[in-house]
Amino acid sequence: MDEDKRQIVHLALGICAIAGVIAFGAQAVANVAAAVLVCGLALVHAKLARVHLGFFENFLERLERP
Amino acid sequence: MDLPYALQSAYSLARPFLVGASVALGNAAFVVLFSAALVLAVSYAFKEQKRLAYLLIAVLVALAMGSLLKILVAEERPCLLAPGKIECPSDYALPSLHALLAFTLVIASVGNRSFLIYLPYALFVAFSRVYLGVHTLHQVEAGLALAFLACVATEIIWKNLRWELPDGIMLRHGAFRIG
Repeated sequence: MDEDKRQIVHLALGICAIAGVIAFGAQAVANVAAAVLVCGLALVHAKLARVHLGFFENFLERLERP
Repeated sequence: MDLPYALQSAYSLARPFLVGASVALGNAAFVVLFSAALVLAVSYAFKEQKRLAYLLIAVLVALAMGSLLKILVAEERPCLLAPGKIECPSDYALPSLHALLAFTLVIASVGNRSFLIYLPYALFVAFSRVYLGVHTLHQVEAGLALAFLACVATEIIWKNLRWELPDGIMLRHGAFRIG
């Protein structure tokens, strides 16, 4: 994703957050945002771990060993 | 066996551990010593010692930001209104420093093997603060949000000092692509 698209996505997220606060209240939006942040961290970790650590490849290799 | 009964049984079995661990983590001296021991043990076990200095700076930056925000916001603790399970701390509540520091470790460890240790630890620390009644959910969530800012601030400080970022720091501000 290039810089322009990234900024547009950030802007859209900000507008959605403000709309969410108006519609559902700050507490509900904070709960959702926290859940999204934690799940996002886990997903990003899974992707980075696959790329940099070869987690799944190592796991499969171990399974294939006699 | 219906599900609520199974959940109740599981909770009654886990309750002594939950209370004991939460109360222990509520003690500032214990949580600092335990976290330091955990970080050292995990870093050496997974050969991530090169990131220790970065983690230390990140935690100190997070501590400074969290302490400053506490004074600025000056939000009272929920245990002043309804007694919690431990003695109510005397300082302000927002953000939760426990959650802030634990999630700083998590964010600085994304993409490393230690992440899988730090994430459950941080989630339990966050849970324990609400469980003990010394923080509300949104105060803990503020700690999580501020942890991201603390990591970005640490990275900016690190780069301004012209130090090279350690290899293990993978979640970087300004990185357009991951992986």
